Amino acid sequence: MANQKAFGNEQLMTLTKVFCQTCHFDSVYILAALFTDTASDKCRQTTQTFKTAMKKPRTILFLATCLILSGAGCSTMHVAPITSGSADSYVEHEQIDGLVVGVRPMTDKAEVKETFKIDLLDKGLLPILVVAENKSPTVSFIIPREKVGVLDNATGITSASQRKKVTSSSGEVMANTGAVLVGLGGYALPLAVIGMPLEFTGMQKQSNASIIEFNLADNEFYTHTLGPGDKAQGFIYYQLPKDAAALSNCHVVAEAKNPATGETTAFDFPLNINLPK
Amino acid sequence: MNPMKNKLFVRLCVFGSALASLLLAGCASVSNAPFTGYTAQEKIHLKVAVNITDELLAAKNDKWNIPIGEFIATNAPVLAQNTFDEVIRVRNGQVPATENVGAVLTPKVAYLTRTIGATGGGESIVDMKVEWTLSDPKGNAVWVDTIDGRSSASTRSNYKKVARAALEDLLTRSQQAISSAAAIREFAQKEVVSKNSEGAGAGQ
Repeated sequence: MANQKAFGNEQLMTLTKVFCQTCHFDSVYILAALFTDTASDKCRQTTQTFKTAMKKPRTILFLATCLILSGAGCSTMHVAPITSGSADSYVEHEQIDGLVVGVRPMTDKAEVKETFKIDLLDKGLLPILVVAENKSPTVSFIIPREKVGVLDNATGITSASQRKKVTSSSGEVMANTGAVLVGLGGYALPLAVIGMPLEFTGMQKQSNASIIEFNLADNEFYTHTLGPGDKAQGFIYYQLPKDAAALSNCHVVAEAKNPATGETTAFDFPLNINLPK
Repeated sequence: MNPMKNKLFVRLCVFGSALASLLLAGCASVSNAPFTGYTAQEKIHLKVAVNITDELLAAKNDKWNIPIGEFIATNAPVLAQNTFDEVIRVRNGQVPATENVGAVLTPKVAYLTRTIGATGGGESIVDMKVEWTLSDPKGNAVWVDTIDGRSSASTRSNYKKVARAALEDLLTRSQQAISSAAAIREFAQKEVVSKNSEGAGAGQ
């Protein structure tokens, strides 16, 4: 009997934990421990205390408020799709042989944070929107992603989009943006449920990081062939020099190819911007 | 019988069956058969070699075990068969000299990810982008485009099913993009004219 009792405690909790975490049911694990009397001996006293407390209306109201607040901070982040105007609506734009290319460096911190849900400028990354529109009635243009970048006149090096500078090494930094959202749910709770908001905090962080990374990649400029009337848009991400206050010796460059003739067309936009502090 | 033991056993059964049903719902197998739900349409008159590269076959998402390279390698020839008149399959650009192909179609994985929801019921997105290159027999690019395929479900859903849905979305969009590409149709027309001219010349 003692052995069977042991199975109903430690081993069952382990088994339940494995199942629940496999299915992403971390909170179910905690609730199961509370309400099925299968909690380990270590939790049993706490569970009894919690059950007694749950009989009091004040406690129920308090817990309900905590759950609502923590739940409100634990929704999956949503990012609105990026829209752009016509290529010639941007201050920096150029038309050659019917192909119009417009560029817009995004230097407003609030706009960057709203668009990407992370302050890229703070991370040393400048997002530059590139919009290409084919106004030729007969010719197609291939614009390879590796031919769209930033030329540094000082070094003569053209850098293609550097998204991975943020997503590969700063995953934890991105993930921390989730911590603010669940801060409201992180205050004192009865011991038996203290694990719940902490679990949500971890899941929220992971979720936010995955969505931010996806958003950056999804909105990057990829290789396209623009037929007559077609339009393509996307960002290139430029790694700023350390402690840079302004960019005055760089150009956004792009090259398009006419597949029928093999001719290439080059676009060049000088960058002359002050960076926010 | 010990009432405590009975109570525990009942609770175990209830809890276990609930967990099992949830697990099984997420663990159904996913078909690896090529996708065949393409739109029936007039095919492009071109003999195309579908080029499967080692780089493509190696492409996968280790974290989620989504072998996208293998998915594309399996499906690219079927996609091409539904889009072009005549299709052969080649590896790493090695087109046999006896095969008089008009163009080579090469797929390359540009991006693959799976986002996770903040909770088990939160939305999870599988997104995959493939860059398709159609080049002439000399290797000059005729058309290159990056096609996006996407699907979403709750985080606790079987992610392989979601990946399969994203793949099918990508293949459908790829067929549409290739079929409607002005550059490809223009190139195919030139090839037909060129072959007719050669045939007429040989006849004379």
